[in-house]
Amino acid sequence: MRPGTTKSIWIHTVQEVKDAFRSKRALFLLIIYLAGSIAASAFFINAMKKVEDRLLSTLQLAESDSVGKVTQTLWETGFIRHMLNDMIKNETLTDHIVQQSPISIFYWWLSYTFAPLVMMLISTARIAEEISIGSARFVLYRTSLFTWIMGKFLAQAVLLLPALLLSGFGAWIVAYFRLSFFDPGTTAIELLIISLKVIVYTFSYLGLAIGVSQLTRSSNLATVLGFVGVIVISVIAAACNHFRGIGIESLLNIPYWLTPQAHRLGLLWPEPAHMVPAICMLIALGFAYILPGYFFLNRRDF
Amino acid sequence: MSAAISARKLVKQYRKVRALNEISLEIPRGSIFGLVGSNGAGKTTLMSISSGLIKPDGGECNILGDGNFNPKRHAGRISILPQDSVPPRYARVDHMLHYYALLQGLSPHEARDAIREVLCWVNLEDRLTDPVRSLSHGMLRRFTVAQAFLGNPEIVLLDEPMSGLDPLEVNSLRELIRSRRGKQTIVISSHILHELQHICDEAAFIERGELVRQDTMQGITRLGEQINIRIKGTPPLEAIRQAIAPHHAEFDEQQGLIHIHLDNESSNAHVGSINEIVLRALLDARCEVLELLRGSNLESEYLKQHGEA
Repeated sequence: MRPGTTKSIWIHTVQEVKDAFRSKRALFLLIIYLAGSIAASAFFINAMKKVEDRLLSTLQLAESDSVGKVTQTLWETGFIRHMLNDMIKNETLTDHIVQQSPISIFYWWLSYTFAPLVMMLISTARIAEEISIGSARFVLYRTSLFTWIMGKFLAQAVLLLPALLLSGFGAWIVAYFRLSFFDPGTTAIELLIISLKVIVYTFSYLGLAIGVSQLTRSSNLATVLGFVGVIVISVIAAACNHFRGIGIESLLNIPYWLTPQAHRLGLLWPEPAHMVPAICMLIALGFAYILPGYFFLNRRDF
Repeated sequence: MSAAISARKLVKQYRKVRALNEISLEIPRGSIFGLVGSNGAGKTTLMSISSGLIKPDGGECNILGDGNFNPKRHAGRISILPQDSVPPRYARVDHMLHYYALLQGLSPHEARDAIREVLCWVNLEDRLTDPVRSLSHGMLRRFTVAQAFLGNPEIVLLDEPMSGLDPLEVNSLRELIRSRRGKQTIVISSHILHELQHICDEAAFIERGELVRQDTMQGITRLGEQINIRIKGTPPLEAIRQAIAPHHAEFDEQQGLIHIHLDNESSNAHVGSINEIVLRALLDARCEVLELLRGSNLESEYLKQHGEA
């Protein structure tokens, strides 16, 4: 009996995940996330150490071997808290953020900035490539285009989970060996939670990657389109966020809400009342970004 | 019972090129059907539309009596060996076939058995766990043939299945296709007309997206209508004509061919007795009989259709 929609999506997802491991694509993804995280965290801690040394030298204090202690102390000062509150404009959220360790905050910034870009590098070619070599033709008379696309999409999301958990682990390892002022248990939990939140955030960009992958038969062009998409979304988000206001300018909230950046801050909240709507919106955006590409591809010949 | 594929005024336009121009044809269920035509005639487009890989711009292509291709109704019931397509090269033969088999609706256990069976049909059973990239061009072709038969679909569309195969493999594929007669509808597009003639029950000539001729292979090759005898010498034509009347005989001096036109569809026994009469007359007249052919062949008929024979 022909498999139904759900089972077909499952078959495609399993095939795509297995295929990623067989082709070493998954390995490349894991390595790139781990190496990126380790390199960036090491760079951050080195920079932090230099700033701390400079600060201690300026204040004519004795140099310290406890890397991170000065930063942690500064981080907990009222000045930093006040500056953060000016940016975020919410005291509860500010309090929550300053409770996190500097390495967690750095990892949060790093992964929110670069995870979508790595996703564009890895996932945009998935559909374009199969259409260009014709391997899609062995599949698309056996199943619907919708289930095939969904299978590809969910498989990439499944691959994202170990990749981001591994990158969080990379940051933790660097911190463990380089930071003397460091609570391994608390930071591990913080990094794990941030990694899970970044997976949700990147899920929306994954939708964009799979969406643009359906627009062209060229995998290189698909990758370029993916990066262009990220830039366009970032510009729209920044512009709408800057100009939105009350009255007619409130209309800018609509395009702003359609960007992942609008819901990024919501993920930072510890309370479900703020976090859950952000998670739902980001997942919905992931699916929504696929749709234009799907409708385009559905009208095309293979 | 409805036809396996029934095209009605089917149109496909690629920018300025009209690949299919209101073509209408019916492919009977359970038959082995040949599609013959020059490059760009529309054969591949017709097959691709039938399997849902290409969308028609007009007309209807009714598959198994259930309307135009729709994955909800037709997935798993029709398969295609697409031209110029390759599976992912890093994948293993069994992995890809297992994936296709699951999509055909087979259970993992059934899939394993079915994979071994179809690989056996194309003599690739020893390459089960090899990566696709290790297969030669001919093996890759056989792999793609195997995937088309996986899960026993009702219609199998084979686009140039013999391309790149060695003579042994061509023979093996011919036997495989023959063995499926009556069990599946098999549509073959090929330029090797000699092979098509020996495999197909029926064929259609397509040119410039239009149906030029469709008939049974017997009808096209006129097996029951004509006997051709190549000789050396001058045949006793009048004596032969009188002996075989009401059938008609004529002599092409240039080619040394006697064409005997049978007045209606003749049985094998009838043809045998005519052969006996004519050959006896030729031997009595001391003519050398070089060759005896019954009917025409697909290639000659196709070329005649183009006015090139």
